Amino acid sequence: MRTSFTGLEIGRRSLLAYQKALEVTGHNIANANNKAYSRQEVNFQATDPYAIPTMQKGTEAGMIGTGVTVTDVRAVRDEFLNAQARNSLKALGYWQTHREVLQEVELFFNEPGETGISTALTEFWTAWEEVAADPGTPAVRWTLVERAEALAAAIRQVYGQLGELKLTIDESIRHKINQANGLGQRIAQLNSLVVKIEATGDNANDLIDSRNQLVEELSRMMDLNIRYDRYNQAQIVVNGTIFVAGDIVNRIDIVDMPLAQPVWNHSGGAVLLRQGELGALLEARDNSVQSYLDSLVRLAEDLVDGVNAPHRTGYDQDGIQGGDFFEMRGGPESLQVVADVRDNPRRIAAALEPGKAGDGRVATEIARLRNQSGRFDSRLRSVISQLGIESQSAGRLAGNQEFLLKQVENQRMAATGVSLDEEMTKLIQYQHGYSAAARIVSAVDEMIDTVINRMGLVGR
Amino acid sequence: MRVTQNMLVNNLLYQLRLSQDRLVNLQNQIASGRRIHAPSDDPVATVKVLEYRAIKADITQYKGNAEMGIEWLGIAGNALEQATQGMQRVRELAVAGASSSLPAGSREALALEVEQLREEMVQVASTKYRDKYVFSGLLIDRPPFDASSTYQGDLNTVETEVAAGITVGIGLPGDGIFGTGATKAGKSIFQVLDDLASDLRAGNHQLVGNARLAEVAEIEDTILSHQAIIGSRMNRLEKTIDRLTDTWLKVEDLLSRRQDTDIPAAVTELATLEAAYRSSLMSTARIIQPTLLEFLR
Repeated sequence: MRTSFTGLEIGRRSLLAYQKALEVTGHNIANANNKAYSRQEVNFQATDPYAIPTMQKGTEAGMIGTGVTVTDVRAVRDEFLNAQARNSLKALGYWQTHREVLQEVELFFNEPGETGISTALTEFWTAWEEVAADPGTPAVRWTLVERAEALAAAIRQVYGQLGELKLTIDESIRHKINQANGLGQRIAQLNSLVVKIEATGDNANDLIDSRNQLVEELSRMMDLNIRYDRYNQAQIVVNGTIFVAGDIVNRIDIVDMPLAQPVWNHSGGAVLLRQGELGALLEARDNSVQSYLDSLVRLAEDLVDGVNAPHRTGYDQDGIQGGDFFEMRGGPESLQVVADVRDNPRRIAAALEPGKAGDGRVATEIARLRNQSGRFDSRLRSVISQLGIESQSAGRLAGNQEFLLKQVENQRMAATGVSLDEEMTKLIQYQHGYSAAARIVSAVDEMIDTVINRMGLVGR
Repeated sequence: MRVTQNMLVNNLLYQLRLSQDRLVNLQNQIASGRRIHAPSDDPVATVKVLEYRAIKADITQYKGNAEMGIEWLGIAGNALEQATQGMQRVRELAVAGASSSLPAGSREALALEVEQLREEMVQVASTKYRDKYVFSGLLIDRPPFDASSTYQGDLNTVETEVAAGITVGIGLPGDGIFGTGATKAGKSIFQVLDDLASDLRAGNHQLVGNARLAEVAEIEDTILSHQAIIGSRMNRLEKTIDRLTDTWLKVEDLLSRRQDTDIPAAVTELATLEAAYRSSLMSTARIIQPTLLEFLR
């Protein structure tokens, strides 16, 4: 037997369901511009029908519907696209950082500007030529000393700037590692919240969105793999070692050697980071920037060895055999013209034989060094060429990754993003549904009113 | 495909950033006149620019060297021209002195003039270019001949570099012209003139007419041959300057092509980019505006 109030109950359920659906639509609209948000959908399901299993069933229609309920609110997600996005992000992080570092290096070398090492080098050789052509004039010798000092200063400056860049990169590495640990911590916290919510049978949609966002921030920094356990907790594996599992974080510590080296907190083993921002920073600090520092060391050695050797064979203006021209104690940061020569250009040993005022043959020999292949100018040029090519390709690859990431993001937004038009349509749909459900309640109400208040009044 | 709000914004921002990036880059190229600001703009061209700049500096230096050489040789050439004229006069005097019928007074006058010419030769040998003695070899700071007419320079030649590893001698060691190299017998020009003067004074007209006159002729030949050397070297230096000027222009052209902005092309590209930028802004403005909201009451 059915009761007279079944219709009211169906109406109530329907009102509640539409209300819920409207709320979800409102939530979607509210998050339309939240990039990390995945749109949510309500799952309507008919409630269990009402069968009347009786022996005297006879004529009545069976299986009476009992209305609707919202079984769950599900976020639309695409794990494949998420993985794609993470892959793009780690490559993007790597190449963008690489590009930035190389652009900085290019800035320091300042080629083909008029104030770079190459100009100083050219002017240095010209000054030797001048001395060769006119060894007796003090002004020409002073010019050479000035040019040589300018060249040494240019090399010292670029070397110093690159050295500082290396330290700045080291600072960034420490900073990023701290950030990564912080992200790991927050992911672990979200993991434990997700467990609590999903244990009750609900979907932790918004928490998972937040967690995904953190994981993406983390993948911009390093190469990682992600797995989900049966409680939907994210497990993050970096290079074979677990970084986050459940609510536990295996921290990355910094060891000073004296530059920062990342090691695992639990084992003390080195963390191998080859991708993402951290990968690029480590690579820049230990290889890329270091290689430019090394080539400056070799250029400075070229000058010290290359110029000093002939200079020692020559004789100065007072007929004394020449000593060193350049000196370097340690690295290129100490490259300078020997004080004796700097203070007294008569000491420049331009002559091949002592006491010959017109003899500039050693100066000529030194000026000819500029054409040696693989040293001096040619070495500098190959460094600049290498820098240009590396920076250019880093720029191109960063550009490519930006484009790829945009494509992946667009695909993901196509699947999981909020479309306002769509939500507006649903809003109207649910609103109409709500009105109609309300009408059912009124209709049943009128019917019951008829039964209660108007029946049994025959003949009154 | 579902198209969502964020996609439109995402696309718009990406495109705008790309366009702006290109616009700024191009604008920078046009404003500075340079198409390369960092090696990564064009690594190959950057290296070429550095090479061409070094070559230009070399050429400028070589040209300066050659110009200095021409001046130096010109001064030396003038000096030798003066010496030739002097020697011609000496020859006239020697021819006059070879006559047997000359009175003692006339011979004395001839001898005096020869002595005067000898002093002139000392002056000529001490010619300077920018305070450097041109006939002293590498010892440019001291006169080639001392008071006793002994050569005190050296036998090296001042040289100037006019191309990588190629030098041209510009100094002429005076010993070979005025000193012991002036005659085959190793007699210097001053010795010859001294002998001539004393022979004239002594009336040794036969000696004057034979041995002395022959020596004078020999010296004239020596000087002439050195003038020829100077001429040919100047010629070579002038050709070098022509060639260097030519090369300089070519290198300048190559350098400019690699480092300078092609303004007409850049401006055209700028106009194209600007049009693209404007139209993308316009189309986005149109797409972004309408939503279903505007058509609902």
